[in-house]
Amino acid sequence: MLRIAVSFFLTVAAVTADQESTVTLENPFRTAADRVEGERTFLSQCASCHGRDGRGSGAGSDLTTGTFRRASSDEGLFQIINKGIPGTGMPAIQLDSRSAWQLVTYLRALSKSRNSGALPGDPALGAALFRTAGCSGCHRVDGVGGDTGPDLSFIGSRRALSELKQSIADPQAAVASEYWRLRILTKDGRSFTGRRLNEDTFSVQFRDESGMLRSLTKAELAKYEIIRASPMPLPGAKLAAADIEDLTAWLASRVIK
Amino acid sequence: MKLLILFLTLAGALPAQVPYSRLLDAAKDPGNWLTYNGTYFSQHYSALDRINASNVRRLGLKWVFQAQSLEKFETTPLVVDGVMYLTEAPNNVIALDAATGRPFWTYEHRLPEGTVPCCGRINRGVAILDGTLFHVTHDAKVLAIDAKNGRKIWETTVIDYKQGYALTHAPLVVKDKVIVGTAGGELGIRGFLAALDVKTGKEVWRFKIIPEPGEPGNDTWGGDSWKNGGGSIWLTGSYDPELNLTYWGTGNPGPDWNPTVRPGDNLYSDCVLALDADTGKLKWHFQFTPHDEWDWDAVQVPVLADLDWKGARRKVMLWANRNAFFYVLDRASGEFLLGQPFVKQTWASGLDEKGRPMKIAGRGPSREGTKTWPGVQGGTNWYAPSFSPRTGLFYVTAWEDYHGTYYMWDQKFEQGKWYVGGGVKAPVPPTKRDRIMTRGTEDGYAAVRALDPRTGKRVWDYPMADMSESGLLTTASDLLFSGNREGHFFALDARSGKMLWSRYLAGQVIASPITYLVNGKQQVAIAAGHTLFVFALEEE
Repeated sequence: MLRIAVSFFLTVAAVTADQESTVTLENPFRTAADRVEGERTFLSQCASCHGRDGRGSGAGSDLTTGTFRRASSDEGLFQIINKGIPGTGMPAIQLDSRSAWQLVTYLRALSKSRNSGALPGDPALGAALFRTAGCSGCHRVDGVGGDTGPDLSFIGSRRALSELKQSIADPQAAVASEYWRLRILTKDGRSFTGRRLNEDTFSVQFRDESGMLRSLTKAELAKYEIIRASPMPLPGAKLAAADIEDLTAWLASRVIK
Repeated sequence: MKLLILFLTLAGALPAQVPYSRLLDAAKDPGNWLTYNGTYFSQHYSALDRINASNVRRLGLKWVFQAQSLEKFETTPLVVDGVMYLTEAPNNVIALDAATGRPFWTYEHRLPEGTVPCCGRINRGVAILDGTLFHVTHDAKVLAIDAKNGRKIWETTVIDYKQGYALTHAPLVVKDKVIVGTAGGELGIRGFLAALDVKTGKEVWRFKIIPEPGEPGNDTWGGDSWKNGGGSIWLTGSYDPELNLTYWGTGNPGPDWNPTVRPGDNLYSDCVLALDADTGKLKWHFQFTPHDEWDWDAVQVPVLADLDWKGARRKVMLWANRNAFFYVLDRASGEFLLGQPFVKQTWASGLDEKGRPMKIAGRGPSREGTKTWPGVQGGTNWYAPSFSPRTGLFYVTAWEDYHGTYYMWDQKFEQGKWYVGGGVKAPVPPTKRDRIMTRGTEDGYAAVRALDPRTGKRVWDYPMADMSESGLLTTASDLLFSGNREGHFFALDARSGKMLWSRYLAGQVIASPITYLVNGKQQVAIAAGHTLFVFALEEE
């Protein structure tokens, strides 16, 4: 079945065909010149939704994080470019195979380019500091730690250096809405605080301090306050500038390989 | 009246027969939903009143229809004598029993590789005349389909889809013609409207939305910019039989966000066109956003109403535009009667006495980005507004306090490819991307907004936590039905905006509700997610 689905591309792409198993397409256009061509295509065909920097816009998702929500392989990206994504604004882009593969090459480079280059801090010192400063009480890394704050396992792929540094030095500067907390008093006198998980016109979903998942209708609420401040203590005040550089270097090294 | 309704709904076993006279009188036949917009006046208002404020709490789910497609489900069904006709992406037409949801037949149109419908491989519905359905496709064809059996009668290709054209809207039948228009304004097309003979599919007239050299309006395009001028048709037009004028909203000029390459007003982009329905000749036009810099298509249903206007009865058109202004026009002459912002906007200091916006310099796209209200989806978009002749109010799904940061860059035109010349960053996605919604309302929220068309002033507001891409329906019992991105479908009091009933359907609503009768019982249908839901009153 898969062979039928991809047969359209077989004439131009390098193919490993096995009559008994799946067919995998490899990207035949991966040189530096291909990447430049891919960038040209990206700027004309993709940037209006994904941004010129590829970091998303509201309409298109962030393509620089090292992982793609809907594709794990080059072939997967190639297929999305050619077919679009049903149910979303992502259309099929009309490109010849060569241009589509070159675009894949550029997308791969885009996601690897972030935070590359030498950093002033020492990632090993940063890792040690992360352990001793109690950060894991709230932040999970490689499956260990709390979940009040963001999972930092691959934070280096998702955030720019300047954002990492700012988050350590001034945690209040930008708190993503998925980490906002709430304080609720119900009309029958119950009070809750917790992590706000979801909300619509009629109801709010949250995880209370005991870890219990709760959903309340707004009609039940006497008071509802969204706490947008980060609960993160101000390490910037206690840390030396060098410590911040070390932590930043370590977080930047936490990338999807 | 009730006897007539009963007779028509009992006639469910007969093949659909919808002579033109029935389309003309659709407002008097509320047991059926005979055109995309309900009637030629496109008020999305029904004379049905059996579901009302006192019994709406008994609305219960009767049946569902599951689309076999993961595309956005933007269909508005027709209902004719107990048979429902709807479309599913990309280009299937389905006939089913409006009482139970059981399908009678499916017509599947096979698309070639390489069709490029901007913004989703969707279709919004069909039209009917006599026993024939009319359906448009992404490969730029118009099909006539036998309503009895789903067999194709004729097929006409209106343009080469490889040039970036696609057709997505429900056609409009007027007399013996079916009128369609083309999308593709993000791919450097030149949009047009075409009327085809309903019997043969032969083209009778064509109106070019982007005029060619020597035609009136071409001088509103600097240089050769008209060649890729855009001007899509995304949505079904309206028709006034007394004036014999058909009204259509036109799309943005191309490239969307680099206006420097197309100096001038860029006619007839972002206009409402009033065309003679027999000849396609332009009677008048009104351009909402001359020299558009933000992609604010006039992608709305032209709502026609007859109002007492400063002491005299007047044939008007009500239009809440993507550019954030609400307009009242005289639909016989195109005269501008009133214009008011209906959501926050920062691009114009107001409208002049002719209705032309007085633009504020520096609010268009720039190389470094310009933050402007409203954002790219506009103050409202393609989902149907409603006008109730009973309340005299105009209702619209509004995007309030919503902005975008508009970027411009250079782009060369290549046939069949994206040609937009910029991009927009916004804190709110144009359509739902996640089942989790945590953002605050400071980046915008949707509201069902009731406006007094005589003043443009807000009468009431029903704000929601997230955005909405749902159309509206009002009824003679003064209910207003709508849905939203959150997945709710609900009924408000059309006079006060008070919430009367709601159901959580989970899938986002990107369609407009309709209502009709089955065996004398009122039904309400809405597409949400990939499913069509039909509700009716449960027994007490």
